[in-house]
Amino acid sequence: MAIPLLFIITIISFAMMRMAPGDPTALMMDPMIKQENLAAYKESYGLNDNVVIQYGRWLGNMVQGNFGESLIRQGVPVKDLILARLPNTLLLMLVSTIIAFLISIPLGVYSATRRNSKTDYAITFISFLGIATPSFWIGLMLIMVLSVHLGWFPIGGVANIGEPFSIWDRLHHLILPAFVLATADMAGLTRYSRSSMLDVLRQDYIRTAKANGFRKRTVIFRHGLRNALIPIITIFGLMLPSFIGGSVIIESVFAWPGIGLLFMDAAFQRDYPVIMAVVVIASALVVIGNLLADILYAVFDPRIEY
Amino acid sequence: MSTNVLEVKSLKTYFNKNKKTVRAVDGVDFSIRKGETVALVGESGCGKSMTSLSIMGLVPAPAGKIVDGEILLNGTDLVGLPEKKMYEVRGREVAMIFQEPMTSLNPVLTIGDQLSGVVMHHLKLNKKEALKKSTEMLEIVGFADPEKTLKDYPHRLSGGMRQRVMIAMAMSCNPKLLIADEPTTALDVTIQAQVLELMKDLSQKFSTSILLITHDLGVVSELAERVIVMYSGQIVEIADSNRLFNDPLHPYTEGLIGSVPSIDGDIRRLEAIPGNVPAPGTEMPGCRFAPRCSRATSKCTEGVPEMRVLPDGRSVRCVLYEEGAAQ
Repeated sequence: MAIPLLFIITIISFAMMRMAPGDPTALMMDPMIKQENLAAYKESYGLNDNVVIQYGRWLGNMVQGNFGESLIRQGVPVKDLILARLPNTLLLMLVSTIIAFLISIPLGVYSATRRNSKTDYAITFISFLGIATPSFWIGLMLIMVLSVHLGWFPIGGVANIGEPFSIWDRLHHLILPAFVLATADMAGLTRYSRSSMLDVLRQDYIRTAKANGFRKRTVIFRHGLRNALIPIITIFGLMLPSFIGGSVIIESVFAWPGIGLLFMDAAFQRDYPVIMAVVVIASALVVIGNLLADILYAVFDPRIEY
Repeated sequence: MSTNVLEVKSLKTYFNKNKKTVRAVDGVDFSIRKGETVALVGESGCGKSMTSLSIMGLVPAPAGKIVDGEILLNGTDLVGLPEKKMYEVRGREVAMIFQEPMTSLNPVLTIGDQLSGVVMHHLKLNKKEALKKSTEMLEIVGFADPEKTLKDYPHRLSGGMRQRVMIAMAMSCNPKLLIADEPTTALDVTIQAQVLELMKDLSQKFSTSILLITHDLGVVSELAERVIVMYSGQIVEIADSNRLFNDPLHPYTEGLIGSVPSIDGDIRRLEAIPGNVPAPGTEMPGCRFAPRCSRATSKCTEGVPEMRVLPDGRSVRCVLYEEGAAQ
């Protein structure tokens, strides 16, 4: 299932990329270049061939693990560019996911157990506000207030340049972008945890637990929470694509050198091999994330056995 | 002291729905003696489940509330008892089993976790002792291989087996009162008989009183010594099981018994009670059954008849049996 899906994604991205106006030569060449030289250059990179042939060539190389060389940074293999930046993005996404779950699930559960209270309404209000606010805007505002005015956080990057590696420095740079990336899904996740928990609290086995004399806290956490988490795992699978999409924007806002930023630059420069490589990696991440969600299902729900 | 395990006195549990007050339980009085099995019967919506939830202190808040009355369990009033104390009553003093065995057990916890959890909570046993106790309980309710069942999740058990687990859980702390809310309604007929037999045995063995809530008169005759008939939030008749079936007093009881097929061979038309239960929240002067009653007179709508105790110990709420009424 995953392989044909990846295949279709690459066809669509390749087609869309080539339908967009412009090509890499427009950016890298001297505007005064002679037409013959330009044509020769295009020829040497195979840009004059039929798009289908170009796709076939790219696919043939890709399945052998060869993503080609960057057109803009000549001679640099795309693989090296990706490998240098992928860990940064994975770190950002991992921390972001953890932040999103650690904040949203408790808020949602709290909201559900105090349904229709003032706190519940406040959480609901903030959630809707969160859904409606674009995360790049939140990012810019936080940079302005926390980094520029108050100077609590660095403005961007992964670490202070020229200083030896330190975990504290890394974390210091990581917190703001990770939090902003998390906000994109936090609001929805909170609403979802709330409705999932409310649904569980209506179940017969919760009534049984109450009838057995367990305290409210025990009923909610021991008997309710694990059941409520099962549908939330689905959301984890669905969240990954939006995390990857979000990372493109957030990495640009925070100058975070990950594959999102790489993708952004490559898209502006029409650096086709780099764009395609990022598309493949991102799709693979989504597929892996869904697989992970399926595995988590089996861990949380004893009724599911593979 | 009386030997009554449970005494319910003029219990009133009301619901607020869209600013309208629904009297789900409207002045209910009854008692249950030690070791006795009492059935609470009536049509759907007559308030029998709400009566049981009131005893457990599990009336769905904030819509529902016990507005008046006493529920004395061994002399202690459960109404207004702080929630902290109720934690020690539920499952320990009063246990409950429900209609839906398929959904009443937690799907993500093993039978062992759920059973031993209750035992650990109430009897303050450690994990090992609790598991031992759980094994014993499963053995008592008839599991052939209790050690294996402890490690199973509920979805691997059939409905009858799950109901037995529920019974084991309810009886594990040796409660004084077991409330069984339609315990066999969702089960196959053959399994029903087994579960009833099991409840009968256990109540004798542990001398537990049972409040059996049902609309199945077959189950009543099988298990109960005394029967309370409820209609629209009120008790209309209380009598010993045998007497009630042979000589029902209240026209509603008569109607209930008349609507059950008999096995004696006398072929007769089943008599349905005409009309429907009044919608919850309906206010009416006089007897609530009067609009459906074949023996209703003008007197029935004049005022709510009082509950009257007859010389032979039966109680009934009907103008036909009031002081001076021609019998």
